Amino acid sequence: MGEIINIFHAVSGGYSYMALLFISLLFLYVRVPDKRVILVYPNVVFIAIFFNPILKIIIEKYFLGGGVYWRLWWLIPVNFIISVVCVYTEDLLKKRVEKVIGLTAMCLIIILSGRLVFNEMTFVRSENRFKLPNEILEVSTILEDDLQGKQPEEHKIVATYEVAWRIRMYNPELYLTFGRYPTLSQCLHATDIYELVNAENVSFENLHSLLEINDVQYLILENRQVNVSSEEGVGPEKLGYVEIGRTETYCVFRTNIVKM
Amino acid sequence: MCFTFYKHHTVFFMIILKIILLGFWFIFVPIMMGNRIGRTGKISGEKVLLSYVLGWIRMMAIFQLMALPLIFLYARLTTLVFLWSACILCILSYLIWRNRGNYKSALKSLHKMKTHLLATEVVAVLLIVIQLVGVSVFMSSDADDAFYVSEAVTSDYTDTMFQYMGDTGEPYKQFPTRYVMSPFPIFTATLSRLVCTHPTIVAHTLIPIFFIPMSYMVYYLLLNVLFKGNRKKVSLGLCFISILNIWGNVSVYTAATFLMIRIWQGKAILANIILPFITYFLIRIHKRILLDKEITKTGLLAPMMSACLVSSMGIFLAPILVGTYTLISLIVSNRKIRDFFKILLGCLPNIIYGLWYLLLLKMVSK
Repeated sequence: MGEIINIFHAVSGGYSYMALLFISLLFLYVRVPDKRVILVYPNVVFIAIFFNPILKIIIEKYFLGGGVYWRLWWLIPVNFIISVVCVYTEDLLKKRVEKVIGLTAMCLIIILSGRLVFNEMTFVRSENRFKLPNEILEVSTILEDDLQGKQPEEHKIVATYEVAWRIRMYNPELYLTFGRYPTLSQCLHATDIYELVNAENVSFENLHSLLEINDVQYLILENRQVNVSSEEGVGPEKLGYVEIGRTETYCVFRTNIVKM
Repeated sequence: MCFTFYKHHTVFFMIILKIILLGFWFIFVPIMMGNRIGRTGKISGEKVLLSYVLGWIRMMAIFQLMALPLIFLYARLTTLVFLWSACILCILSYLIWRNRGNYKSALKSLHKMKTHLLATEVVAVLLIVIQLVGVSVFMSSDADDAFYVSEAVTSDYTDTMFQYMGDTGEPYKQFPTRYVMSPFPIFTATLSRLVCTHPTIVAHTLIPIFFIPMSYMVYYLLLNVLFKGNRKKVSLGLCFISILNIWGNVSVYTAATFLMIRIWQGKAILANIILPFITYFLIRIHKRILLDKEITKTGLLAPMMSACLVSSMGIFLAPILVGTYTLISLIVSNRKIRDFFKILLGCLPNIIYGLWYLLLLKMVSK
């Protein structure tokens, strides 16, 4: 049960939207009895299903799989239910002044109970039609220029996380050793390589031996990772890597690893 | 000089061509496939919106029906694009030919339509436009795109379906069981082929512009059936839904967050379009405001099938939705048990796909 409560808290995000939903369902049950069958009962059943620990086990085991139980909440049209109640509430108010005050109050309650979606955590200014950071396009161009006349599938790339999951959305000609999840990769020691390239201080000697095993031809790191290692005198250049390009955040190296 | 002139003309011509294709595949075809206008010979706001949503849902259902066998036969993406678009165009031609007499009366009814807008309707439209401007001017990042969008891009590039991993380019050793039954990335790749645009642009730029309004269309239909066509109440309801969506970023799990941040992923379409549309359909059935014979015949099949296309969650969530509503309706409203089974018959695609999915899982685990 504790796990279900945690999932519920995760879905509600600590905001009072869910409280608005429960109040709305109560309002509909009391004030709009003819709509109970379509608006109240099914949603109460969905809530009951969600909070039932035995059903959780069954649903996760046989239907949804682990980690996505929260998606049961999608069965409840939360925003629709709250908005219907707002309309009914507005209808209860008779005078014009009452309506204006009522509507303003409801809007304020909604706004104060939630969080604006257009915030700097979720959205940034669009930089191109692909809606990908321009730097990803720049990194792809650097690689494309260097790959000219070569077989891309024979030139595998290892990239830091932010590049690894994005770059093939722009350029599917590039072959990566791993993408978002190293565990899904078919290359050897993918998880180890993933951890090394995403570390603050990259251990280039360890990384190099793993890249050699997989015949990796290109390495994309963040500039700050390269700078730190260069200051410590163990930079990628010492291993014979050639920097073929750099953007504001990323540095692209050709490893020159000779294929075994 | 001459080359530059030629190049500029080609670019201009390509842009015009893409706009025409976009208008054709994203607006004209869905409205005609929905077939509310042609069939009734009347134009009204509700008919146009229902046509549009129903059209997309039918297109998705047909896609799901054709895509799965072709995926398992290792067919090329081009084959699917050709067969699906040919099928859609054949149905479209048949519908236009069958309803040819009705379009004139539909155009006549257009003149009789009330053109004035209520203040609340203007506000509702403005709020939706604000959201569209927001998602067009800004961009959001979601790492799930590493599968959903990259798979579409890879399918388009390699002309295959689920044979190469989207985020690496490596060949799959076996079908990705969780995703193969719900090939929405292939649908994105197909749309990108039809409008001659990169799949990432289709996903990140075009789909939000068309699918966010579509979500509101479904809510419009729901509110319309609930408030019996009262325009003021319906538009006021839409205003509140907009405000709730705009300020709905309470967590990364809510349907509102999925609508605004990643509507191009199938699961967001499930939460914001398909499930609400099935709810709309079920409310109509409960209130016995049945749509015409044509829709009653196909029943829930198309929305249920499209639920399977967009997400593997849809295979299971849609029947839970239908089962709960129908069971409550049976118990509380004293419906005939025959009606109950008739509605449940609509879940047949989900049962078939669900069993197929479980079978695949079992084969993979062996």
